[in-house]
Amino acid sequence: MGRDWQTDGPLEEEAYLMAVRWTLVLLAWSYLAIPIQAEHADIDLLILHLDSVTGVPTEEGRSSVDREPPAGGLRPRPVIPVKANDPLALQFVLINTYPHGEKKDVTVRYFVVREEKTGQKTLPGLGKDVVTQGRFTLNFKPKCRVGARVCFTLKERGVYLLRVETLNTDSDHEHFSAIDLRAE
Amino acid sequence: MMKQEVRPLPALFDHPPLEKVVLMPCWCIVSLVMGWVLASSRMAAPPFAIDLEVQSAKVHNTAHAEVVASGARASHRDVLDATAREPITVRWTLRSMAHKETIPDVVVHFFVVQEDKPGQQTVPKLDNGVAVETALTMDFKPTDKTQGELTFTLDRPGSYLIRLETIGAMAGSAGHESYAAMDLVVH
Repeated sequence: MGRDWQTDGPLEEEAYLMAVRWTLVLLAWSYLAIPIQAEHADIDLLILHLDSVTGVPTEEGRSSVDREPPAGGLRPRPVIPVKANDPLALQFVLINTYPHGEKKDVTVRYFVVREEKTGQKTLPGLGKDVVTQGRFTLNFKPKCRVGARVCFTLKERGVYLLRVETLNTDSDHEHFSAIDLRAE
Repeated sequence: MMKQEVRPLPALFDHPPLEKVVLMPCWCIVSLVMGWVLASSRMAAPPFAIDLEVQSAKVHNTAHAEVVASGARASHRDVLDATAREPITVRWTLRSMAHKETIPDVVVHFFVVQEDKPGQQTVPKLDNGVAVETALTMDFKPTDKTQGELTFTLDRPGSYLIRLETIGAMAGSAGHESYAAMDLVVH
């Protein structure tokens, strides 16, 4: 006792309306979901070697944006060999790509700190092993920027984490960019 | 053709007799001077309040906002002493003093750069000898503020200028750029 889809007018109309309804639901879901899942920041992080006489920088390594959770991000971070006691500089530019209005009192933090091994997932404490660090608190408007260039040297051989990250963005995740420095 | 009235010169200048000017009551002159002082100080009021605190192992000091005025000499800067390779911490706060208006697209620029001598008037070019440089952009609604804190070391002895400044505030309703600065001599 099946119904003829080709000739049964009211059922065809009902199916059409159902399709339209589901399409609208999917569109609404994707509109609401995109702001949650989209990247909110673009980060370009560099480690530079400075010529000890002229101070001219040479790029040693670069990393782009990643996100947490999961701890440590989605991608392994680059490991860059450097020389202890050589003049280095960290440089980053962070651009807020969240387009839906201003976020109050966002923190952007950067640091270079000694870590136990390359690629470790847990963040080292920012205590006595910090080489250099900084933080800025500001209102994030769409396309706003935060940047820094800070000279430093690694006095001892070992593995160091260079990282810049956002905090307090009122989101389910934060963004960061990181590089492991292996000082030899 | 209408004939133009020829008026005597004193009437054209329309000024009071000289003896009345000389004998103008003292209170009137005092009022004028005070009004001028108040007006000029209001014009030069910094659109931003800045606290720039520099701390080394033994000493610390705080500088406050000044206004960049065309042709004016920068005021005296405090000088701090530090030792090479010791950690130096700088904390700054920059707050809008505007009552109603938003000052858009302000760049808050901070740098530590080597200079020839403490207190020099010219700001060194930032193409060499820059130890630290940071920048951020923000719209400042009334009482909005931004803060920063940085810890770094300076390996080379010498004189350094530490300066926080606004860029782009002059284009907005602020009408002035603001800055705070201090000198650091590294031994």
